[in-house]
Amino acid sequence: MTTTDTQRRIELKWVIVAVAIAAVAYLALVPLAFLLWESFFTPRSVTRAAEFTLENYRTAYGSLETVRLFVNSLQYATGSALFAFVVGTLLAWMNERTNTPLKTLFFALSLIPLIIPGVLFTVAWIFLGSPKIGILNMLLQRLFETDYVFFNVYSMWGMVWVDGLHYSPMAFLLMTAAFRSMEPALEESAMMCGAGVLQTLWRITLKLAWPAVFATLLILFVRALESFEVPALLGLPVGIHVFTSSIYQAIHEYPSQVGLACAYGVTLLVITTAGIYLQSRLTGRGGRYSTITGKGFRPRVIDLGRWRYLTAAIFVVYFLLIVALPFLVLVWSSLQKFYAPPSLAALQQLTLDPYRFIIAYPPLLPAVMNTLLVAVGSATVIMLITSVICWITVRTKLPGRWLLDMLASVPLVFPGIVLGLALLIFYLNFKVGVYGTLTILFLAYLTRFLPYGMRYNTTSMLQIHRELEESAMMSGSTWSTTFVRILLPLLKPGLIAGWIYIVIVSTRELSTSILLYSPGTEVVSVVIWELWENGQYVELSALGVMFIIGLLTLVLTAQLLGRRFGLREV
Amino acid sequence: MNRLNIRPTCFLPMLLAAGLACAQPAPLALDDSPARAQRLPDAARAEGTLVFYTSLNEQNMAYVVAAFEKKYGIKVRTWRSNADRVLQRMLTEFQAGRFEVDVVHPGSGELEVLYREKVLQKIESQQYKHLLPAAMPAHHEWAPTFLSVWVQAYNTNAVKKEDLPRTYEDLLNPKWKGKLGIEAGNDDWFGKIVSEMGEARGLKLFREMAENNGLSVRKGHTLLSNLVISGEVPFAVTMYNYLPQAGKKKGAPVDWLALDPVIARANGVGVARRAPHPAAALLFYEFLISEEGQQLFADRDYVPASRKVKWPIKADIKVIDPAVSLDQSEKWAKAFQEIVLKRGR
Repeated sequence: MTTTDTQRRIELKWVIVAVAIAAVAYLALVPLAFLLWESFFTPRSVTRAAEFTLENYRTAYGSLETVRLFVNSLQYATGSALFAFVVGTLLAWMNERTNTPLKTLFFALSLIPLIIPGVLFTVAWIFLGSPKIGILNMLLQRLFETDYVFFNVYSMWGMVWVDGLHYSPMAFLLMTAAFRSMEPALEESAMMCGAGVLQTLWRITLKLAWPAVFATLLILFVRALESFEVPALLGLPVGIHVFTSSIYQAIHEYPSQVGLACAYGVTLLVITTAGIYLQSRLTGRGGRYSTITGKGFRPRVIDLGRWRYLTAAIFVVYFLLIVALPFLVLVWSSLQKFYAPPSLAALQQLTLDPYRFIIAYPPLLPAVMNTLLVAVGSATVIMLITSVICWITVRTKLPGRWLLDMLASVPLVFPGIVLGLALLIFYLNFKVGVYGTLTILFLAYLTRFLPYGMRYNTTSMLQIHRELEESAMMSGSTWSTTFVRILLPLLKPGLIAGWIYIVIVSTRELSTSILLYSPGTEVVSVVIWELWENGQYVELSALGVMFIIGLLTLVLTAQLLGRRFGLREV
Repeated sequence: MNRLNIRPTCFLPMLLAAGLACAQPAPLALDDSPARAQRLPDAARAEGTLVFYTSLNEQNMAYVVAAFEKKYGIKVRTWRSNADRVLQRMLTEFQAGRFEVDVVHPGSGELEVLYREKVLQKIESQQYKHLLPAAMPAHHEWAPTFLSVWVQAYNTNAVKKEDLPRTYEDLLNPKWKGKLGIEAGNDDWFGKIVSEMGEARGLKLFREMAENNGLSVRKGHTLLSNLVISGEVPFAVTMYNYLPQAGKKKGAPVDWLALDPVIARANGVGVARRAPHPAAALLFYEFLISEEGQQLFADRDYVPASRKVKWPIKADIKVIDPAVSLDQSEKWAKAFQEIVLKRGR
């Protein structure tokens, strides 16, 4: 090897690293600077320029009301995050670490709750669990001849249930990635020493997956804090108000109190920063969690014996009772002229009109094409950039690397509308021809979903021991070859899970898209919103059903393709 | 943006420009003579297209826009979002000096903000004399197209016709306990109706209603409308008139009534001060408030602003003055929050 060769190789490595850092810094710093800057200014209007002020912070944090709302939000976010985590992790464990029958089928089915647009999912649960017209209540009341209310979605528990279920696929995907790359040696030793399946799960599997556990809980928690839909549909009718309602209230006023909304957002920023810092401390101590090492790694599952029928039964019950129910409500609604609770009379009214309407709906096709382009594009770019960023934060000793991790994670805290405004103002003034094109949506999605890519890749990266890369380097491979040939294939479980997650959620992204799209760059979420605003609930349900089928096909294809490369059971 | 901030160096050219402008005939927008009506279509066709921002219902808007496109052969590029975002986007674009939008069509509240922010232009038109005077702003920077009338909607399976209330006071009857719903963002409706009833009486009425019978607060009129149809909310105290009407046409178990005082908010149209397609913008503006355009709104169950077109609703409608509503917004948002949102059940 000549010196110039070595030099060029080193340069290429640092060029890629520098580009990745620059991209993340650019994506994250624009809205971050906007958030912090605006929080110190009064609203600007024609008659009055924006002035420096601390009033936003005083209004936001000077009242007991904020504390009360925040306590509600904390309860809600904690409950929802824990619930989603338990459901998602249990499913992921059964799917990845055990030999439960039929599990390949369950992977795609587990994602259904995530695919259903939020408003449809929540409304479906109203139709299932409302004290007045809830199908579940009506059935049970008829069965036991009582008017006792069995379920009430309009409660803190109801909100936790609906939101937790909706986001359990996120926990499922993250934990799936973590469990897939797990070497079973330790689990097997535990079993040999007489530990039961559950004991092994608790003492060994989860302990080994601790970085993933922490990352999942953190991201679920912050997301629930920032979420708006479920509290608005289920909390509002019974007077449960959350922190985010203040943010929307502030934006809604005239002149729009963007600064105040940003000041509220700073709380979320602080929580996330603390969480990321903790995680970097936790995982900073080298290869404690690496299970993929040079010593003959074989990702093999645990044989549950007869218990595998129990886990299969849990799966089936879960799907029938929890996933299928809201889906069936959707199917039921999509076959009617207007929603009516199931009855014999309603059964005679069934029609395919909603489907005919949707198929012939002119704005749909261009919106689907735009969405596919942006969703697949942003998911791919995010997963690639964050794999490099993760390599920096996990593998190198660069000082302040946790800041880089934080930077890539802060977009999580921006309320969608604030992120939308930040990008709107930035690209209106920074004229690079992005405004009014599909590119601005692409950039918005890149920013908004960067934190998810980061968490998915980090959890996978932590499991890979550096000795594999080191041996590749020793054998004369360059950094980029090692990255492409060794690291990326080993990262694949995380890469694919993160990719699937981002594709799904970006097809649903509305709060930013609705401000940033332009005539000609409509996306599916905007079409969904329009149908909803038009009161076309049944047509929207039909679209929802088609949406689920379409995305499931996409996921199954990705899964099949994925199986052809990378990790395989030996 | 700030027009008063004139530096001495640019003062002279501006003076010259002002002088030139005076020498020319009255600008197109302010000339409401029949001559404008004659030359406008050709001038508009020469521009060929226009950009339209609106918060109006997609399907109904498409219906109106298609009629205009067909009549004049001018392509309308529509951007639809909710009223808040229409306002934000237009203001942000203006502040950044990007003049993309020609015509804007949100609610009267947003239009009044746009007027105050000086992004609309004054227009004179022969059509104004036919429009409902209470809905027409004196400054002529926008014009009303239709009224969103708040009515009461009910599920016909859950509420019998003979049980229907005749006045708002009837809703205090304990038989309505647990049956009433209301939309979460109706503070402008609340301000107007309480003012109409007399502040003390109005506040007392809604306080008692919320405390004794409970008002289930729902976000969005369309959600509320769907919940009335499904039976979840038997009686909605606030509902836009065209939603239950559309449901009824489909055969859904829903109907509506209008309790006095009947409150409405105007929706309207304005032309951007820096419209890139001024003639097409003006032509579209005229079209929307003309008898022909107004009839199109009426076809879709809206209450048109023009008195020349038959109204689908018979009532003495009190139209919200957006300027008053804007100035008192803080007060009513607070009262609505305290009385309805926080106590809602």
